[in-house]
Amino acid sequence: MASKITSVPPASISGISRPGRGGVVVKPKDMKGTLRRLWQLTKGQRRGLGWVLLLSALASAASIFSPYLTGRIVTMIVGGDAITFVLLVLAGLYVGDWLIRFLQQYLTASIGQRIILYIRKVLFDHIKKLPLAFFDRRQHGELMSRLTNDVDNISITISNSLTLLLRYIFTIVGIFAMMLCLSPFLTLVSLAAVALILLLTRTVTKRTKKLFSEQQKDLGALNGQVEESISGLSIVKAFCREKQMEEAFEEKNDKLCSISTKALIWSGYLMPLMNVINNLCYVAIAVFSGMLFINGSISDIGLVTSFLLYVRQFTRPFVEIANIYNSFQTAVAGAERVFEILDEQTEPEDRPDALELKNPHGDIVLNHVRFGYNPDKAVLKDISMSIPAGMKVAIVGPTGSGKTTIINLLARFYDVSDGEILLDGHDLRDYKMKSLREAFGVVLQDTAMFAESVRDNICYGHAQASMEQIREAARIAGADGFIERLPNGYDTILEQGGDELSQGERQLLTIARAVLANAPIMILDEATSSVDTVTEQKIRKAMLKMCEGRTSFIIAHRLSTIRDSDRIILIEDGAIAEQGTHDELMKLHGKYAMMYQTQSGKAL
Amino acid sequence: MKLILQYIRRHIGVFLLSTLFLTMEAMADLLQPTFMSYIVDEGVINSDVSQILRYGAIMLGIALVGAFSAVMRNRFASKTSQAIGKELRQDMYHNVQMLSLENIDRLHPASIITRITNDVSQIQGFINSIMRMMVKAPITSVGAIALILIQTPKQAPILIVIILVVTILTIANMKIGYPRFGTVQKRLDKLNGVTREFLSAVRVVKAFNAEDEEMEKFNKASQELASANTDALLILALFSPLINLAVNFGIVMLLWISKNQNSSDIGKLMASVNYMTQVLFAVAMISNVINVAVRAMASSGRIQEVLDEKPAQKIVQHPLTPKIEGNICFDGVSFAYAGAEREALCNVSFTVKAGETIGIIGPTGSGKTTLINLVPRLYDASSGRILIDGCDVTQIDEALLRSSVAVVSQKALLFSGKISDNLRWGREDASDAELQAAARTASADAFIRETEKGYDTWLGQGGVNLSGGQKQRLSIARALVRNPRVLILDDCTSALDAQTESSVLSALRENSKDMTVLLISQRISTVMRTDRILCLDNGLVQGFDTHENLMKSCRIYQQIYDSQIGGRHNG
Repeated sequence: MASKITSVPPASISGISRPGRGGVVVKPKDMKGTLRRLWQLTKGQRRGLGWVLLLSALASAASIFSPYLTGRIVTMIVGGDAITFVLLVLAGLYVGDWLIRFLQQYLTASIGQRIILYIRKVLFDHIKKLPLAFFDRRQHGELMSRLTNDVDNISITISNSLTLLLRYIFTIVGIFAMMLCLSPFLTLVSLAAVALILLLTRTVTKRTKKLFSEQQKDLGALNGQVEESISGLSIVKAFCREKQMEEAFEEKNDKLCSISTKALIWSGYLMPLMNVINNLCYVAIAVFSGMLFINGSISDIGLVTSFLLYVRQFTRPFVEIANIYNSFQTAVAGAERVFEILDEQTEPEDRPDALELKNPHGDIVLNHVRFGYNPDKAVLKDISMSIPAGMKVAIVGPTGSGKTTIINLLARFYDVSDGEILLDGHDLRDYKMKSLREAFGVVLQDTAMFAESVRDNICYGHAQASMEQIREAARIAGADGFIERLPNGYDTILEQGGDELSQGERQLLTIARAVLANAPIMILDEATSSVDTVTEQKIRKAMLKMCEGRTSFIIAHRLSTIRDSDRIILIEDGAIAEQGTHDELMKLHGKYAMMYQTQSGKAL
Repeated sequence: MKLILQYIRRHIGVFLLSTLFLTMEAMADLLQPTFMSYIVDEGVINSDVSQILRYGAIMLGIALVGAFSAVMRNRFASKTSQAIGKELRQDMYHNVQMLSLENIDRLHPASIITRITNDVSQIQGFINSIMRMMVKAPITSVGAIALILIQTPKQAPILIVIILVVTILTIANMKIGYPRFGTVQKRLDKLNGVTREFLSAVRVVKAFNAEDEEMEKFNKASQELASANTDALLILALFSPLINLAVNFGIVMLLWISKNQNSSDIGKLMASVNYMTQVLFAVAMISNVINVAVRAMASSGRIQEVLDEKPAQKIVQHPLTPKIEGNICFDGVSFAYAGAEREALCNVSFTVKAGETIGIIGPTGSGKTTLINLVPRLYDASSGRILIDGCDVTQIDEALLRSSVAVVSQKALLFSGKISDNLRWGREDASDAELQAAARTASADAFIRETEKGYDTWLGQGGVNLSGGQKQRLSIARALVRNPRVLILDDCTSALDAQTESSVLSALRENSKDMTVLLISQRISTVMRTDRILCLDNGLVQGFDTHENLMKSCRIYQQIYDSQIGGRHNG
């Protein structure tokens, strides 16, 4: 059965496991459209792809011709003829097969990787332009898996499926033609086997499909239970819930075990039953051809040999094609998820007549600004204020009142739904985005650090800054002290993305970063309660120092921080409730005064 | 490996049965070509139809036996692998539930989760594939060699040489390929790292106009990954066709040495060619199984670690069951976290009378949370004793202790299930009225009623559909349902605005007159109103007195006061 070798499972060769029989198949929504878009992404690799496809068609040659040659050799051995020449042809065929396979696999790999690289680049290029709303809405883990796993799977599965599909189709057609030439009657017998196998595959996969998707659901439920009970183990223990947790786990575990056993058993029926049909067919061919040989319809024993070899590999591609089609569908569905991201609206492009914001003054006016993260729920309702350059503004208010939203609008992370924000007399949207963001120095609550050196973290976004400037910025932020105590000073690499620093230290670094940016307008979102009070004072001092001579907005959670501000704006429920200096507001005996007293513990 | 064997031993009967069927299956496959050769040699060549039919019937019979064996083997293998997976998960989960938090910290929760989920599936897959292939491969190889030796002994050397060559190629493939796939994994981690960093810092990236720098970083990592991948795949592209070629050449050689074959033995030649391919499949299978095995070994090591972990806290043989009033006494207590150099608490002593409300304050890292975790024995003191109503907590019945002490932790952890289910964690048999009363005290009743299904509202994992403040209020309510003697509040009102916080705290005071309350807060305004305040710094008690006295005597306390409330002291 010489050429059976040509069908060593290709999946194991390429090292990629395809969703096998009965695995969960995800159907694409728009196969045609998605394929067309995928095709566009292969630009530049099409010539190579053409070669790959040609080679995979050629790779079927060995399967098609070697059984015939083997049969011929058998005939010649029986007839006592010299077989050297045909044997050499067979050997040549095998060598050719080897070369073609090597080339095809290598080309598939390298072109596949180039396509992956390109898709990733396009994807990231798009993602970086997406508005913040997108990132706030999506889970990071999910986005990451799209950038890495999904892209990998798409390209690998599609290039593998395509090559295999082509090879199998050629194999089927070729073998069918060869078989017809050798004996139409025996061909009919083997077609019956193919029909039986297809019927069987259909019946079994119909059953397993449901079982596998149920299994997936049960697995998800079990994983969820494990995750929440273990990450919350301290609470489980504090409330003595170990037993109940274990019972809940056991129930889910049992359910998963029984369903996956069922799924596995059912999908496992396929192979042996297919084998039976195959063997049945094999026996039938052996018996029929033997009888035909005896009554003289077939004169050539080699023909019988060839036919037996063909039968063995004729049925397999039919089943494989069904599988390949399934994994192909899953990959296309994955591609759809990637395209979904590519279809997300990016941040609006700068208007063609957009202004370059040069040396901004810092006058800011909000005119009847309305905004909601989703259209039916307004977070800011009609906010108006006018801030002259150089003023120190503090924004206070209860959680959820819309303080952080104002920052998001000022830095144009989001655009207003209605009304306008003017900077030096022009709408923010009239400026080029890049120049606008340069005008703002931002210290955010989340102290994001990068796994680079402390220096690179400070001059983030200003890579050309000199070492003196960096030191100066750190000094103003009051971060120089702890930086110099680090093992390599400014060159210390934050391997864990800043986790090795305390919350307060990270805060100081972000302040240094904003100092270095040297922007005329400052926006500071004060850290919440996670910093101790001594560090907090340090941070506060650094913030105040940085705000000198600039227009600045401080979102304050503790009123003690902002008493010296030029203007305090109390936001409540998306609207300005009170505004003025600390003393004015205290005299008002309104909400601010009450908040202040509650916080300083003087009331009640 | 020992671990896997140990679990297989529990199912040894079924395992052996499945191996038996597997052997039968392999034999059936092996016998087919032999009988085919009889059809050719005895039936076709001699033009004997009855022989053809006879051997055809035998082949059919063998095929049926083979199929039956395969079906049975499949049943047993599936059942065993799934059952072992289930038991492994169960045992791990059970053991983890028994562990102390100290153990969990050491193993890392995230790592434990992957071990219970991913690592177990690896093992499952491995066991399934042993029962499918591992045994079959040697049986097939040995059987094929034996049959060739018996029928056509002069072909045996070729077969053996080919098997050797294929084995060497397979080993070489793995030796060269593995490190490259290791590199791929590392580069993939790197790419993931860069992506994660970008996503979590996206606000900063945008604020600092650094999109292009991030793009450059990403592209570099992506490029590195692609080239590592191409490298690794090149090895595969090199070796797997080579293995095919080796076997195909074996067939050519077989035909070559048979060129002078007696024509009456032609069936045997056809059979040998068939055996050749069967052996190839066997070898290919082995390399697959080895792949799975390597991963399974690593997984089994990680699973073993969890199973071997012994609870760090000792279990008392004869626990005490005192009537708990709520008098707490720390007597020279020190504590250090596992692996930490510095003690988190250092010789802490103080006494709280039942019914007192104690505020605890101090800078971050001063040991506040550590201190309260010792009371319900989430951790045990390294030295010193903690007494509740005169009994050492390590001697008190654990269930009694934990049902008398309720903790509301900093992070409000809720579990998937109904709101009412979550509240009933406090006490299983609490009535609806009790739940509502607790929720009212925690200022949670109003927002619960505003949700569509009220107390029956389903919470997603971790209470994802609630805001931070709502979660905190629910977790306070959960503790109140317990109606504990000692209530511990660990800075659990941080997400509430000042007004809500003060209304929660005053409601608490009214409803917990006879409870001992330990209240941690960062806000001095919150602790000022407690009976006495414990001021911690660096694991040391700096003061334990009323607000007025601490203002006079405790420097750290004064500093905290100044920084938050300021006023005249600030100068």
